[in-house]
Amino acid sequence: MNNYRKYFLKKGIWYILTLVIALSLNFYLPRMIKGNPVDSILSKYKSVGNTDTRKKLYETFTKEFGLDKPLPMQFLIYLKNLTKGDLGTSIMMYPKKVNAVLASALPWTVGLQLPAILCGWLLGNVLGAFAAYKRGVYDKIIFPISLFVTSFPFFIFSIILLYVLGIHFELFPIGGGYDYNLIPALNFEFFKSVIRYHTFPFLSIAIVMIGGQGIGMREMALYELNSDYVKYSKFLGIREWKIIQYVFKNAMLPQITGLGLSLGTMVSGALITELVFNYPGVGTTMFAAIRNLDYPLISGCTLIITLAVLLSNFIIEILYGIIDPRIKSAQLEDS
Amino acid sequence: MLAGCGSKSNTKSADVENTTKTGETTTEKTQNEKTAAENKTDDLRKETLFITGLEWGPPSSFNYFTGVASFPVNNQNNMLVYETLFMYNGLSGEIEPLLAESYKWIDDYTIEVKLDKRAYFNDGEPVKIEDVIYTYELGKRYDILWSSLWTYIDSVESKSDDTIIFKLNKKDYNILAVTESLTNVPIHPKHIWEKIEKDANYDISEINKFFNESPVASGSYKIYSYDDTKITLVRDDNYWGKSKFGKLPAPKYITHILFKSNDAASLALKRGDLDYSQNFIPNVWKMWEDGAEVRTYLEEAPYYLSDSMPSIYFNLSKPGLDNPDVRRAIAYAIDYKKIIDIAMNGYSDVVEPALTVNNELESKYIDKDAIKPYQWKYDVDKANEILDSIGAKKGDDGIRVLPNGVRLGPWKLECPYGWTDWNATLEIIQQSAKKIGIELETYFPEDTVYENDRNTGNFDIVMSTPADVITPAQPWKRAHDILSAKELPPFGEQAYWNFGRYKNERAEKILELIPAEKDIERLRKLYTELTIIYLKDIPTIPLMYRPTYFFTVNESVWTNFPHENDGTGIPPYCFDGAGIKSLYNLKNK
Amino acid sequence: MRSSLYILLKSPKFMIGVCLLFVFFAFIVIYPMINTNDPLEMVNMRFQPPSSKNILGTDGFGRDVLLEMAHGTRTSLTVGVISGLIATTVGLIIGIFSGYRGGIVDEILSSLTNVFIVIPSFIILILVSVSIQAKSVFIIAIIIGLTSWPWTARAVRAQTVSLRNRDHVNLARISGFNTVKIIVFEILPYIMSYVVMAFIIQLASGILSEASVSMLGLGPSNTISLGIMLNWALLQEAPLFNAWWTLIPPALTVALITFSFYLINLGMDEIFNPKIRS
Repeated sequence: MNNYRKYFLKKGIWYILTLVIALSLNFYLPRMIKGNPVDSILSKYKSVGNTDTRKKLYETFTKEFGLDKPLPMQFLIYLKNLTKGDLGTSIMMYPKKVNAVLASALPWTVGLQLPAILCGWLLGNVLGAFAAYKRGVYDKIIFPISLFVTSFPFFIFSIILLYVLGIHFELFPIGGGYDYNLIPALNFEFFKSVIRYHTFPFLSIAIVMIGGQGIGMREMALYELNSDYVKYSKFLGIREWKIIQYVFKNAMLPQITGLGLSLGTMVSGALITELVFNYPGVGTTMFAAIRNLDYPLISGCTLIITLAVLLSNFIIEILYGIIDPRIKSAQLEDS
Repeated sequence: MLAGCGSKSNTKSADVENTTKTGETTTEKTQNEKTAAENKTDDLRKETLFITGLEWGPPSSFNYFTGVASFPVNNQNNMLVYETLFMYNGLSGEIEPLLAESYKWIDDYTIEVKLDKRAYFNDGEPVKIEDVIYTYELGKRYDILWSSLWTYIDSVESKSDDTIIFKLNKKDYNILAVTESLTNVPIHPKHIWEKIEKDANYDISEINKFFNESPVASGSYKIYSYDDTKITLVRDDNYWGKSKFGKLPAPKYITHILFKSNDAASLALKRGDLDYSQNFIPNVWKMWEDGAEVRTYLEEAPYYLSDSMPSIYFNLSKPGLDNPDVRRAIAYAIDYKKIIDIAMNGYSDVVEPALTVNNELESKYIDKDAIKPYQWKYDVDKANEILDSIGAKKGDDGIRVLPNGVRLGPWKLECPYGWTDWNATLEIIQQSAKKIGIELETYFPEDTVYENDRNTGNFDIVMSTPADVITPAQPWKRAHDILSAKELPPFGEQAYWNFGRYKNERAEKILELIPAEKDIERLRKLYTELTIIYLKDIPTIPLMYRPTYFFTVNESVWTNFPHENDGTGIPPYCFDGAGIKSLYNLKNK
Repeated sequence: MRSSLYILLKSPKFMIGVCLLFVFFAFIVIYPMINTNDPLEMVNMRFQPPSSKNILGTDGFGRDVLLEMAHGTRTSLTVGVISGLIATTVGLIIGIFSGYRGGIVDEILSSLTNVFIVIPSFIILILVSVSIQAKSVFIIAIIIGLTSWPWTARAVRAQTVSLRNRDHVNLARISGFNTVKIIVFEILPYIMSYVVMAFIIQLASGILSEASVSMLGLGPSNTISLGIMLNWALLQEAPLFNAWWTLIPPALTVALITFSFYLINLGMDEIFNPKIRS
C-alpha cells in the first residue's frame, strides 16, 4: 500500500501544480481580450446622456468589478473569492451571479457529454475488440466505416446530422434543450422533450467516439492477439474465453490512457457541438460570454471546463494505477 | 405557462383541461402547479398570442428607469403596461389619444392637454394630473430618458383637475420634442414611486435596483410569469380602457418567447407555434409558398413598410475620408440594388439619398426636384471619374493614392458580428470599393465592442441606423442624429449620434429653426436646404430602407392582423404607439 | 529507406490516402486557373441551388460555392501545414531534449508538457483568438501551432527515452560526440518515421482547429476557409433554406482531407510498427 501512496501522492502534487497554472491562465487570458467590459454595460444605458452621470456610473461599475485595481491584486481577490466559492457577478447578465448562470448551464453539458463520451468509449472498445478477434467480414466492414466516421470532428458530424436527419427527414428537433413551450419541471412531458432534443447532440458525439475508439481498440487488440503469451496460452490449451479476458484487460490500458489524454479535446469538440445545436450548456454560455467580453463568466466557464478535465484525468490516472500491475511493481522496484 | 399546442397537430380536442391558473395578481413562477396533462387543449392556444422579436435576453428588470428594462416595460414597447398620454401612429403621422383625450395649442408656447377621467391604475387608483406632473418632473430630478426634455419645457402644471398645461421654453423653442414627449413618457403612479424614491434616498442607482416585478400601471396587461425562455403577460379584465375602446384586447395571454437563434424563431413562425414576429426573416415568401399561413403587411414585394435608413458613417477626422470627393466616389460606387436584392432580400426599395425616408409621410417635407441634382446613384464610371479628377492615381497594387500621399485604404468597414444582413451589405460595399481602387476591409467584432467603437469614434467607417425609432419628431430626429454637433461629446467619449463628428454651422442653425416652425411651406424650404447641405457633404451614406419592425404574422390561430388597405389605418406593428389598437381587432380562426 | 518506400506504395491504405489528397490538391491548384474570378464577388442571388451557372450553387452572400471551396481548401491546408510544422518542430525539440537529457530538465519539461496536454488547448486557442483583433492566416496558424505541440512532445520524448540507452548511442557518447551531434545522427534517424507520422497528425488537427475556431467566428479575417464557410452558412440560417450545398461540401471536405491523412498515417504505421501488420 505504501507504494500506491507514493504514486498517488506524486500524482496529486502534480495535479495541484497544474491547477494553479490553470487558474492563472483562466484569470489572465480573458482579461487580455481587448475592450472594456464596463463600456459594454454602459453602452446599453442609452437613455443616460449626461456625461457626469455616465462617469459616475462608470466608476461605480469599475469599482464593483474591481477593475480599478492592478491586475495581480485582482488575481488575489479572485483567488480569495474562489475559496469562498464565489465566482463573481456576470457582466452581460448583470446582476446575475456567475454561479447562478453556470448552475443552470452545467447540468445540460454534463447530461450530454458524460453519457455520450462514456457510451461512445464503451461501445467503441467492444466493437473494436470484437472486430480484432473475429477478423474476416466484420473487420473489413466495420473498420473502414469506423475510420471514416472518426475523421469527422464532432461538430462537422453534427452539421451533417442536423441537415440530413433534422431538416430533410425531420426526425428530431434541430435546436435548443427542450420545447420552448414547456417550463422545466419534473414531469414526463418535460423529460420526453429533453430526450428528443438531446438525441442529435448525443449521437454526434457518441458515433464519432465509437469510430475512434473502435479503431484504437482494434489496433491494441490485434497487438495483443499477436503477442507471445497469447500464442503460448493457446498451445497450453487455456480456454478461449479466458484468453480474451486477458487480451481485453491488457488492451484496455492504453485505451484508458488515451481517454485521459484526449479528454480535453473531446470536451472542446462537444462544446462546439452544443453551439451548432444551440444546446443550453456551458459551451453556448461561454461563447456568448466571449462575445460580450464578460470576464467573470468567461473565467467561470473555462474554470469549470478545466477543472472537469483535470478531475477526470486524475480519476483516470488513479484507476490506471489500480488496474495496471506494472505501476505497482515499478513502485516496488523503486523502493 | 404550459401551452398545449403540439408543433404539428391542430387537432380539435374536445377535452377541456383543468388548468390551474388564476392569472390575476400572481407573478410568481407557479411552474409546479402547471402540470403537463396528456389532454392538450386548443382553448389555451387560442387564448394566447405568441410573439417574438421585442426582447433578446432573460428579463433583467421591469423598472423603466434603468433604461435596460425588459419587455413589456422596455422603451417604445411599454404601451401594454405603462401608458402614455397619446399614441403615435407612424402610418398617418397623427397622435391619437390614450390616457389623454385631446390637446390644444393655446398659444405658440403653451399646450393644454385634457386627461381622460376614466383612466385608472390596476390597483384601482385613478390616473390623476398629479401622476402626469410627477412623472414628467422625475426628469428634472434624475438623469432619465426625458431629462433633456426640460431644456425645452419651462413647466408642467395643472389647470384644473383634468387639464394640464405645458409651458414651452421661449429661448430653446422645440415643438417637436414636446409633442414627442406626449407619446413616449410613460405615466407612473405617484403614490407608488414617491415611496420608492424616498426609500432609495433619492439616489437613482438605488432606485434602479428595484426590480418592479408587479408594476402598478394603467395598461391593459399585467406580468404573469417570466423565465429564461419566455415572458408571459395576462390581460387585465378590469382595464379602464374597456370603456374607451368599447372592448378588451382579444388575447387573454401574450407570451413572448426568447429564442436563442433566429432560425429557431423563423421555424416556429412557419409552423404556427408563433403568431407574430418582428425579426428579420430571410426569403419570407418561401414560407407561404411552402403552404404556411404566413403573411406580411404588404402582399407583394417589398412586403414590409420601411421607415428607417441604415447608413454608413465616415470618421471625418481620418485623412482621406475627410475628403468629400472620396466620400462621393464611394457613394457612386456602391451597388445599391445588389444590397437590396442580396442582403435585404428585396424587402425595400433602392435607396434615394436624402435625410428622409421615401414614404408619403416624410416625402412631403422636401422638394424632390430641388435635391435631385445633388443625389447620387450606382455609377462606377462616375465614381472613377471623380477620383481621377482629384488626382487619385492607382498604385501598383491597384489602390489609389491622393496627390498628398494619402492612400485610399485600408479602411475598416465595421458592424456587429452575426447581424447577417448587415454583414452581407458591408461585404458588398467592400467588393464595390475594390472596383474603384479603394481598399476596404470588413470587420465584424462583437456587439459590445462595435457599440463602443461606434460611440467613441474609434472606427474608419461604421454602419448604424440614425434615429431608429418611430416618433412624431421625424424626420427632424434623423436629421439631428446625422448632422448635429450641439452638445456632442468629442472623440473618445460616448456619443449616441453623429458618430463621425460632422460639424456645419448652417446645418446646426436649420436644425434649431425646424422644431420651432409650424408652417409646412417654410418647413419644406428648411428641410430642402438642409438636405442639399447633407448631399453635398456626405457625412453618411444611406444604404437601404428598412422597417423598424419586420411585421410578419402566421394567421393559423389569430387572424385580422393589420394589412395594407384594410381601412383601419393601424400601423404595421402591435406593441408600439397606435399599433396596440390591432390587439383589439384580432379574432380566432 | 528505399525498401520502406516500396512497401508503402504497396499498402492500400497509404495509397488511397495519397490519391485522395492528390485529388484535392489538384482541385485547389487547377480550378482557380480555370475560374480566375474573385471568390468574394457576389455573382448571383443568395442560396441558389446548384445549376449550370454555379456548379455548387451560391452561399448566403451570393458567392459561388465551388470557387469558394477551391480557395477555402487552400487556406485550410495552408493553416494545417504551417501549424503542423510549428507544432512538430517545437514538440520535437522539447521532446528530444527532455527525453535525452533526463533528470531535472526532463522533469520540468515533462510537467510543462503534461500541463498543456491536460488544460484544453482549445480554450487557450479561443481566448487568444478573441483577444487579437485582426488575424491573418499566418497568425492563426502560429497560434494553433503553439498550442498543440504537447502531444508531439510527449510522444517524441517516449521514443527518445527508449532509444537513449541503445548501444549505438552509448557508443557515440563514449566516443565523445557532443549532445547535438548525437541527437542528430544517432537518435533522429530512428524516430524519423515517427516524426513524419506525428507531423501528419498535427497537420490534420491543425486543419480541424482552424475549422473549429472559424466556426465560432474567430478565424482569420477577410479570407475564405472551410471553417469560415461553415460559420457563415450556419449564421445565415442555411438549414432553414435547405441549402445543403453550403454545408455539406465544406464539411465533407474537412472530413475527407482528415480521413486521407489518417489513412496515410495508418499505412505508415503498419509499415513501421511491425507488430500491427495484419
